Amino acid sequence: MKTIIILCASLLLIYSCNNEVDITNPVVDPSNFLSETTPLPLDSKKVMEGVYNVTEGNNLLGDQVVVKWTRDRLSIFSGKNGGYIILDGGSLDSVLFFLGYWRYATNTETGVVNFYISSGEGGKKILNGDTTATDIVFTGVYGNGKESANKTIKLQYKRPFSQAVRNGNFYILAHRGGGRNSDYLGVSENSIEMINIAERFGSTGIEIDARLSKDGVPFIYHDSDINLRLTQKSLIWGNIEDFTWPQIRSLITLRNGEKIPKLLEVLSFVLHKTELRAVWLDTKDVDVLPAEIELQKAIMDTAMTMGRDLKIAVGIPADDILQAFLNYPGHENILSLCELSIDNVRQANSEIWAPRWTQGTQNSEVQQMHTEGRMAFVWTLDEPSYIEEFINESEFDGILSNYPTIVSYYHYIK
Amino acid sequence: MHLKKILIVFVFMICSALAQVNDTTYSLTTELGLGYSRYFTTMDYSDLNKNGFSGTLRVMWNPEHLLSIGLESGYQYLYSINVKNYDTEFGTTDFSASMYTVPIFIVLAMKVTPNIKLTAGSGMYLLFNAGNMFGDEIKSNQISIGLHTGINYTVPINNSISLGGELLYSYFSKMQDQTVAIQFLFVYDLFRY
Repeated sequence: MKTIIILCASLLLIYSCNNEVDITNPVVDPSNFLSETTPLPLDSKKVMEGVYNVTEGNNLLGDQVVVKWTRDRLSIFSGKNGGYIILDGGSLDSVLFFLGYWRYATNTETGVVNFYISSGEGGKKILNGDTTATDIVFTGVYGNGKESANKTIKLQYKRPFSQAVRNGNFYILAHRGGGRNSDYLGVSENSIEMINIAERFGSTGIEIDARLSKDGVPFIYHDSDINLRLTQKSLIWGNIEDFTWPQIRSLITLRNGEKIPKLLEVLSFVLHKTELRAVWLDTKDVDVLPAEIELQKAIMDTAMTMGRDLKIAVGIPADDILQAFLNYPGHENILSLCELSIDNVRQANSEIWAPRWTQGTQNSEVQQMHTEGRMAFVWTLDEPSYIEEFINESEFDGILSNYPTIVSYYHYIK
Repeated sequence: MHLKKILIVFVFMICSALAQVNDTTYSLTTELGLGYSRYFTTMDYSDLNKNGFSGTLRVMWNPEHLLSIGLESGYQYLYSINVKNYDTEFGTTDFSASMYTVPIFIVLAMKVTPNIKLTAGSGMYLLFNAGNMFGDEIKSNQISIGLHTGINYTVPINNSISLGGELLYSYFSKMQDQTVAIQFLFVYDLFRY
């Protein structure tokens, strides 16, 4: 009897292990309708931003949402399951049309969603850039999975973002360039393609992982080894830093088909192609530090000549990296982010202190940092209830999260 | 999926062995397997050579139960590739890469007939990568968890030597790839007690 029970329990254990995830990506704008519309002017976009009541479609989004334009998309963030909507839009006559998809950040549910704003429900005022428009109504439909959009959804303008939010300088930082592979975002973590969509999730900054190839080229990649969590099958395996840059670039393909980018490519992309305000360089190996600092200086100098507000902070996550940083000539003047103690922050003269979220809100320590003219970021905060708590009760200047959409929601409704 | 099948065989063998007792003396045997291995992968390279040498060396302790236990090491060729004029964004280069593995396994074996044994093992594969690209050597190694299962048939030649063959299926979790090897088997009784 005992043997049979052991056998059954073992079989149950074996068959309970299933890591295969089937996520159905919705097809957005199959008839290319948006190509017939006119892109919205910048002034119009700002008019639409604010907090909205969900008057229909609460099953999908809850009771209220945040509407926020990012670089090239209209994003809607909700408090339900970290739900968000990414929309592309344009106008036809004085009606605004938006097509896109919705997704829950904390699971894999997704679907298509379409909206319009009629001329009389704010469309005309938006196009005129009328900042007094408070009667904006998004009317639309959404579907689940592959089904067509057939359920009604309606958003009614409630209020603009608070003065504190508008005047604040809060950083919403996306982990691994925008999100992890395990969240099935369709692009790979730590890739140019991921960074290109990071702002759609509400990110105003990114965290990326820097390593050095055998021949001295800094590149971004999280793990120390080549593995199937991050890459497709390749002919080379082992410690990724054992390979030269041409070998890495030519022989390894990231999980969703992208190539591993050089740190220079990433920073240039951030500078020239995005509106991101911060890059947190997570120094994965002490050897990459000098090259990382050189690139940081070069890109920040270019940013300054362009009048671009961009902070690139060299990460100091461990004692050996702190020691190497302190040995670097002129380290006092290098913009750095220290994850260690407050004393280490002072020792390195880091502009940013970044403690782990599990240490709590640490308001008195954060205030000390502010008094010394430093900022404080907290990492890596993913649980919605804690995100809400840190947004409302802590004095941190930024939150690093795998779910920037959730941070965005709680920040903008503040 | 393969992992599940191997684990099921493993659990079945353990449970069966616990339930049965056989009156034989204890012995320590060494088993040498030499043969051919075929690598199965979803990697899409037309020039990939997936055929190579396979060798295993086991030391097995055989108690009075049907189940015996032991340690295994060896060598298994996985793949090699040689490409002339390989186009990359850095220019054209000749490119070669190869991979072989050395297992360090705990192995269980169960006699199902006097001549046929089922085997299953688990442990780690030391993976060794070598090659060349743009004149730079490719050299790295890595550890992968792995499993194998097999069936062997041996015939005693005298009191201490048996000869036979073995079919061995191996799974490498790091690469999620497999090999199937067919080996000539030489079994020698080191001592009995």
